[in-house]
Amino acid sequence: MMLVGASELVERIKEEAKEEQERILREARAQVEELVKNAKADIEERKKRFIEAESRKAAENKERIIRAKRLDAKKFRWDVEEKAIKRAFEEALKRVQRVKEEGFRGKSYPGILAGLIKDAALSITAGSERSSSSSSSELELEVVLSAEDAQFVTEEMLKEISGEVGCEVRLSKERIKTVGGVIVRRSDGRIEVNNTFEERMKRLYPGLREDIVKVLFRAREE
Amino acid sequence: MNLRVMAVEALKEIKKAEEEARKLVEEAKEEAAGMVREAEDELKKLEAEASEDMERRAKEIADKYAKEGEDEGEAILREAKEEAEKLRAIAESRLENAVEAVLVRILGLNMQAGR
Repeated sequence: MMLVGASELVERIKEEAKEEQERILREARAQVEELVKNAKADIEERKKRFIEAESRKAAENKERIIRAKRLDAKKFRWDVEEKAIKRAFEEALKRVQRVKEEGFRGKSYPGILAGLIKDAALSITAGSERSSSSSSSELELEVVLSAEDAQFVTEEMLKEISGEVGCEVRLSKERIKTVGGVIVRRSDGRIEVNNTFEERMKRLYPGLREDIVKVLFRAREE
Repeated sequence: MNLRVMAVEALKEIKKAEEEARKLVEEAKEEAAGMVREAEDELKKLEAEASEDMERRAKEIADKYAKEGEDEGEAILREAKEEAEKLRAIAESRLENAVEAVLVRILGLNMQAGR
């Protein structure tokens, strides 16, 4: 048997302990609940941001793949164009032989050579007049050709050209290797115009290329 | 029992109750700490699972977009090849005109016509 006051005190201690126990567990449960809730929300948020970032990266990669393929696609067209342009130049040079035999657009090969000689001679006389006080009648020009082309040039032709350009134009003994065409130069060697077909092709390349592109590809698109 | 003995007994009971109360609170604290530890372990697992899930989904997304890119790219290439083939045929059919255009200029016929 205990004292009355002591018994109540024991009961109160037990009650308070029970309350404290419940409070501790309640707070722990709440803490756990909050911890889990926050952690899950954090995980979900990180997942969302990660997936968004990965989606952006993947979409960029997709665009990169497509851009690379588009570039390859452009290369197909470019390749076809370049091959066709190259072929047109090669065929034109090959065709020169036929021009020598059959002429071109109603013009004989000697006539074509005469035109090139005259054009070169006029350029030289014009250049000579600009650069010196000597008149063109004092000038002497020589025509250099391949052995094959030399047979197309006659004395009469050169005499006629001489008359037209106003200075003496004569055939050089020197022979060059060329598909065709002429080199005309002053006898003193100070000015030379190279009208061989290879050289003209090089010189006229940018314009010729544009012409070829127009003929081969643009007509369809226009 | 005399009063002195009763008082000693009462004190013993109070002490015992206090000891039990202290143990109860101590156990509650341990249980609470255990609950937090368990939750933290569970969250670690969740974290690891989420990590695996993210890696898996990232790979799925990357594969899906890469396949789309490859498919679209292949379609572009197919179309370009067909287009290039048509272009090649057209260029071939117009080669003669292009050769003539080159010849007119390298033979100097354009300047002769101009004079």
